[in-house]
Amino acid sequence: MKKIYLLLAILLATGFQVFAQTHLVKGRVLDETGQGYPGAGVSVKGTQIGTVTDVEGNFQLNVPDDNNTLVVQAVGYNRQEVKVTGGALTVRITQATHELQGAVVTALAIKREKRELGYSASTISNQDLTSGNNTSALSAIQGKTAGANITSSTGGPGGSTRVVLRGEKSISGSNNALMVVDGVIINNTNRISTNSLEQNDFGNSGNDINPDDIESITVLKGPAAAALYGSQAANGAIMITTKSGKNRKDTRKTEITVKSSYTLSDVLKYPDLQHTYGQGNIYAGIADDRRENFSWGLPFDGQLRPWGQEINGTQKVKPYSDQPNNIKDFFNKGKTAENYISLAGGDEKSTYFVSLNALNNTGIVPNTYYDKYSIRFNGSTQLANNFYSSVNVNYIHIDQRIGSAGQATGSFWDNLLQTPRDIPIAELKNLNDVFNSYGYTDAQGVQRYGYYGAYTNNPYWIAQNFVNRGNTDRVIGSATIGYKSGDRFNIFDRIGADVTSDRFSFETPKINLQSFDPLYTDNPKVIQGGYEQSATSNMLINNDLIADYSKPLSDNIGMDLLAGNNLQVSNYTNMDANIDPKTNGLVVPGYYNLQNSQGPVIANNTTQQYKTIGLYGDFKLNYRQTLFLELTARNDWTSTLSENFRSYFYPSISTSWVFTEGMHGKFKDNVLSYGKLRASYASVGHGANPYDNNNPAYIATTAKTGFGSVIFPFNGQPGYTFQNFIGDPNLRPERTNSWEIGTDLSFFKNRISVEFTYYNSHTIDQIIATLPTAPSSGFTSQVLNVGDVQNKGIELGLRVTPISTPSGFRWELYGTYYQNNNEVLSLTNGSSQLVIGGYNGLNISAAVGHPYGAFYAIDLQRDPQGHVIIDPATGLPLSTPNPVYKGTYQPRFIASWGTNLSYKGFTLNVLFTTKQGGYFFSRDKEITDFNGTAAETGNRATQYFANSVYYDNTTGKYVTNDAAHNGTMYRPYDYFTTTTQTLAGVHILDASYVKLQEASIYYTIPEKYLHRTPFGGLSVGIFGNNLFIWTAKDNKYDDPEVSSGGASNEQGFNFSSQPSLRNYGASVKITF
Amino acid sequence: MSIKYSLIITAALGIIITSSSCKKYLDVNKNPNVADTVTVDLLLPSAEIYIGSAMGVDLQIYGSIWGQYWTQNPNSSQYRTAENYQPNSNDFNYSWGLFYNNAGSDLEKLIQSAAAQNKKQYEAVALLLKAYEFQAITDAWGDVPYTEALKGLQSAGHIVNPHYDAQKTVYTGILSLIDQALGLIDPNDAITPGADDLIYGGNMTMWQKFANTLKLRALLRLSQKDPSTAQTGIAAMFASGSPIFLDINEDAEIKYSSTAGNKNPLYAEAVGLGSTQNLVASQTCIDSMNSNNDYRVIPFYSPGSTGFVGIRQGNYNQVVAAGSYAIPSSYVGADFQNTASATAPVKFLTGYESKFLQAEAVVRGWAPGDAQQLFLDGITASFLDKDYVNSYADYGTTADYALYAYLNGDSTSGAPPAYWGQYPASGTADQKIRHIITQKWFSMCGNEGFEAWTEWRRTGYPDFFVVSTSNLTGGKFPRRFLYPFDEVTENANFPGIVPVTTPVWWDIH
Repeated sequence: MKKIYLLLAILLATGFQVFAQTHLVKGRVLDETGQGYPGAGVSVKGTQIGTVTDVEGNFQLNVPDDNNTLVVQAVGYNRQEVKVTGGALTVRITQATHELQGAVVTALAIKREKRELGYSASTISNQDLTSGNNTSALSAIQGKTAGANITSSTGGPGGSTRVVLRGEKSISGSNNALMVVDGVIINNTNRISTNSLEQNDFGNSGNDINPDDIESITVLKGPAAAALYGSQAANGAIMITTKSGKNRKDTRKTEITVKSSYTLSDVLKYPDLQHTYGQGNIYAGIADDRRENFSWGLPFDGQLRPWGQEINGTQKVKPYSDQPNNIKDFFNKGKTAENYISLAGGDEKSTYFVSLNALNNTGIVPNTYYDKYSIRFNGSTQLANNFYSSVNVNYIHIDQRIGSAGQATGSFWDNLLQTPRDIPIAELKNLNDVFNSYGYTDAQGVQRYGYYGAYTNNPYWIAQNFVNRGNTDRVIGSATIGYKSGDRFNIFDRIGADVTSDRFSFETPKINLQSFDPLYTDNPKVIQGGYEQSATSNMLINNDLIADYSKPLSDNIGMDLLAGNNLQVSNYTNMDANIDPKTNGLVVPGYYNLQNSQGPVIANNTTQQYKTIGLYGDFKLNYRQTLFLELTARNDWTSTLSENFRSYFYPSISTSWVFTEGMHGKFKDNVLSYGKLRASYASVGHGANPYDNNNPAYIATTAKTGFGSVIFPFNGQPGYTFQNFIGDPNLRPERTNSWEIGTDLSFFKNRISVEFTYYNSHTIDQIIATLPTAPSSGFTSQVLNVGDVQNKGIELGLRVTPISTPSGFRWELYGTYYQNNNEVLSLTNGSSQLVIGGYNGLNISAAVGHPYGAFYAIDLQRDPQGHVIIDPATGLPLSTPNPVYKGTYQPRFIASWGTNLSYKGFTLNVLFTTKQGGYFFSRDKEITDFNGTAAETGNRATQYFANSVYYDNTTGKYVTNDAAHNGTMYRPYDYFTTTTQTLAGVHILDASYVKLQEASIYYTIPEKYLHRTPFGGLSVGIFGNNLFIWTAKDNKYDDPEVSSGGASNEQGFNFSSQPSLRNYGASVKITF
Repeated sequence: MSIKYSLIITAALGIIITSSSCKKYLDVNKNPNVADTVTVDLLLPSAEIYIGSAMGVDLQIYGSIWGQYWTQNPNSSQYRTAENYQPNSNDFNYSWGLFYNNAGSDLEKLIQSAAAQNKKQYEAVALLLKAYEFQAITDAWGDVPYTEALKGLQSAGHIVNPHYDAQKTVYTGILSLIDQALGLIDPNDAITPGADDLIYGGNMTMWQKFANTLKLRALLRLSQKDPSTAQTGIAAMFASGSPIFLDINEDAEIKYSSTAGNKNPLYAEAVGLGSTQNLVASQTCIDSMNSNNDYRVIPFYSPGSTGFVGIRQGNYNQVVAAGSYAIPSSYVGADFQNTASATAPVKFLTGYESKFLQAEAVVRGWAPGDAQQLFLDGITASFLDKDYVNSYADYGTTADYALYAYLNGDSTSGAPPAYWGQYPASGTADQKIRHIITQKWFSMCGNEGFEAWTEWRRTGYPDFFVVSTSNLTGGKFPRRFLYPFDEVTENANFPGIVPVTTPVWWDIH
């Protein structure tokens, strides 16, 4: 504290008051369309003297005689300097797209000049966000800012997007960035089943906000930037500012915008398959077993052969030949129509903005859809007596039906991938055809199936009969009441609420079917049927009372003081009722109601509540608008820790120096136009999740075995069991300490601009609620304050404008580079690994000494030179006795490269993104290996295992396994159907990729052609996102971004997840 | 409103909120989704079901495959690693967890609460269940945590890395638990469990018989390694009068029902695996039953299209026509296409086992009695067990006839009396024990698989086991379970992996 006083004293001493002569300057600020711009800041350069434009854009200001430069700045616009000339000034401001200067939205939705900030913050405008027409605002950030690792799982409407800023910091908690809309924290929860092996991805709620409603997104990457948000700020924040009405007194016209777009989607990447061998298993002695999902049959010969079941003496016939597109042909073209209309207007006192949006999608999987409707109203009004008020309300309704993936019984993708190479998938589509039938009743009243597969199910039947629905109603709103006295004092209270109701239902059909064909006798199809309904309501309320006081301490020194109080309440309830097809079943087939249950319905409800209180202060000083210092402090009290530990304090300090401000001369004019250095430090505390510190208590007993369970009440008798975790009432808050330094530079009259940041963060005392313990302790997990994760990295942003002519030809190139080095430094004594995902045989872990998201898997055994060691008895590779480290899902670096070209109404945007390094697990590889459909299973000759050695017992040495050294050959069949099924390590692939992330061309019809029409503007364009992918050499299977874990910490895990989408389409936008 | 004034209000508001009402506002962290306390009658059934699921699934499957009642179906693959004698340590996570963190921690709470509330009969039953499960644990895994086990709670010492005790220590503990229970049992106590005791419905006389039978079983387990302890212990039991043991149809068992969620756990497990018939009859057992004219193939197996035919242990690579061989029956809960399997019981300790244990103790000269009569009583108890007695009607015969034919010869088929039904009254003690244990093995077919395999490990009987053709152990039989992966990775005091072929301490045959 002493240091701070000292600093203050120095600043005060240097800024003594000078009384200078002044004169009045009048002027008007106009935007690009020539309309008066209200609310722009106008100040005398290098001083604290300033004002704000009125509703018509007019201003008056007393300017010292000896200073004749004014600075005009407004959010989203370039900072403009003008010389006072004598007469009335007219200042035209231009929209800032990617400048180092201009105003940005910072924590608590406070708009500030970017030059003041001691930390990195990047802003993405509506135009940049929507040019690729991505339906997810979060996915649309990808490639547009350094420091963000964005993973878009399915790439289509309703899919999950994970945004991690500057690396994973929390071992077991969420690593997603905090989401803030117009200053109000909103929920970003995963609407996904907890079991990633049987994926049902309904997306994450952060993607609900309609990108067209967004004015800009500011990404606050570091804790320093977001410190005022308290506990949740450690992961950085995505600050979304929605559009608002503009005062248009001169025209009194309401601006109406209508936008329509139509998007087509298809699968971005399919696994590479072999085209030589068809259905059967010649290695088991039955060459053309027509029941098989195996493609380990004979080579194709093109001869006509019967296939599938023999039904009443008839059988289908087809040539025995490759079906090159039999996976692809299953999918429909995804179709998305989006219609958007918005009204923006206002008068001297009030503004309003209303928008309506409808998104109607039919998915690539038959019968799937995603419909979203949203309504937004943003209004503000200036009351008498300096009071003001604003209200924002956003209502969102979503209806969706999705296909299950993973290894679920109802996984269309699992069954589709197991289609033998010669089966024509399109012929399976007609479910009324007896050869595809499920539930054909014969003359004896026996229910039969005619489908060819004894071990798999018809993916079309699955897509029709396994029904997974999601339904969301959500209101996000905020209301602000404030009092503003002049430019100096402002106090306001803002209450924001995010209320979400999600309902999900899952239908599993009931069947008990015999085959027609006697060969299939041992393979009846039996599913007990099931129905599950789940309803979740999630409410998050935040109230902030904030007072802000700013005062120049002298001509040279400005001071701003802010104090605030935050109250946060979160209530979560879930009600789930389940007729589980595995332990229970339906009575009447096709009747999906909880009363149609064979046994007791498993019903559960969960309630979670937490509350926090925060008190915070923000103290800012600046010297001649050149040197900036900001100190923040916050104290939180959280309900999730016990009384002795619930209060925690955390500070931040940041400073910025625009060193070019004092420079003059040719170097500044011609070379270095702008330069800033910045540095910051922050420490952010974090409470626990609700009830983490509770001692165990009792719950109703369920005795689970590997695949079944016994459930209470047992024959009418209730039973309760003691929970399996060890609580700790002395849980302390965890803490992230971080610092960053950086610079913003721009050269050659802003033709080149560079942003660079280095950061370093430690998250210590982590609260791990599920630290595994030895079951012999009587418990399987405990909660402890352990763990230290370090993240350090660099962020680089570069923007070059090689051509910008007065005729309007402008060519811009930009790129980002982001490298984060993450390491788990410690967990606890005894435990070196904490599993965060995967399955038996493949752990995705936090492991000491490795980056977060480490893969551990049983792998091929190798000699010290890296050759695969084979078993001389079989010729097959040996496996490691224990799981070994196989890399991490963290990319080594993330980069992007984009370009914008604009000329006479045409704009062209192209954006490439890449992630290099990092790994992912592909079950698609595992299953296509097993089935003999993967391209790599195409070479079936008995052979020597590539690059292999065997251990010679007599010499104790490794000997090359080839003919010359008396080696042993193996059958690829044995390797792919047996060995690779226990070696998860061989299915971990290089996740590197380059993507054509976005491309678009828009044409805006010049105004001169429109003045006889009712239109104010008209633009048409074609766009695409997630267009092409180039993957690493060994990845012939999947888009590595796809993850069965949705937006959770379980990444790099493609457990036969639904493949990602390529989207492209056209749009038209009209304004009136 | 002056600036000063507003600032004061803001600050004051903050202070008010954070002082007076703060505590009340923030005290919302008590989990509403769990019950703080429950009565002992809610914990008892929970512990019983957990033990039932461990005994009924993993111990039953491995016991019955390694005990050569069942083998892996060539038309499926789930338990191939059991036939390879090379299971994965992950395969034992569930059974270990059911014993320790499920049943174990519930029993620990139950013993504490019952003692505190002076509910002695609850305490006695809980102690017996603890003794029972620790015998299963140590028989399966050898040296295991016992003295430091189940003490993970902060209030119980926060032992999260329990040390492993020698099997001998665990056996001492088991015997002491049984003695403690015997000291507490009083059938006239006003407070006894009722329907919440899923095994005996609170009948404390039955629990007393259970305690004695279990004690006899535990002592006899030491017959080879530590015969003096066994002998002294058994002699002491008889010294204080005539202990009562389980009799015919007094099996300690849990009866499951066809209600969803209350089904036999092995059947429920198989339904979860898509009702695939992974388990089929082993030639070892079904052939020896057939050659002995043993009608117990009826309750224990369902015939295939070629009759009561088994598959040789480990021959899962053999190509066989689907449905041609016999499979375990619904009476033992392992005919997975037959919904009657849902109601098969899980047996903890049986009347016939009790008789054969007593017979052995007599043969060894450690207990008084008529060994031949006890041997015959055991066979009778097996044939007439109430869970199987009605099954013979499916094949037009009766249990009584089956028993008669087994002992005296079959007039229908002309088969002579069964070799294994003839007590070698004039033989050596070892020949008698060979008959007793082999006969016990027949009677436990598919219903006490783990105990049968365990007794084979102790005595080497039956002496006609064959090594699995797909073994990967160089022909060595498996003689223990693998420590579970959870324990290997999480227990800092884990002593190291022991191969499946290494015998446990008492196993010296």
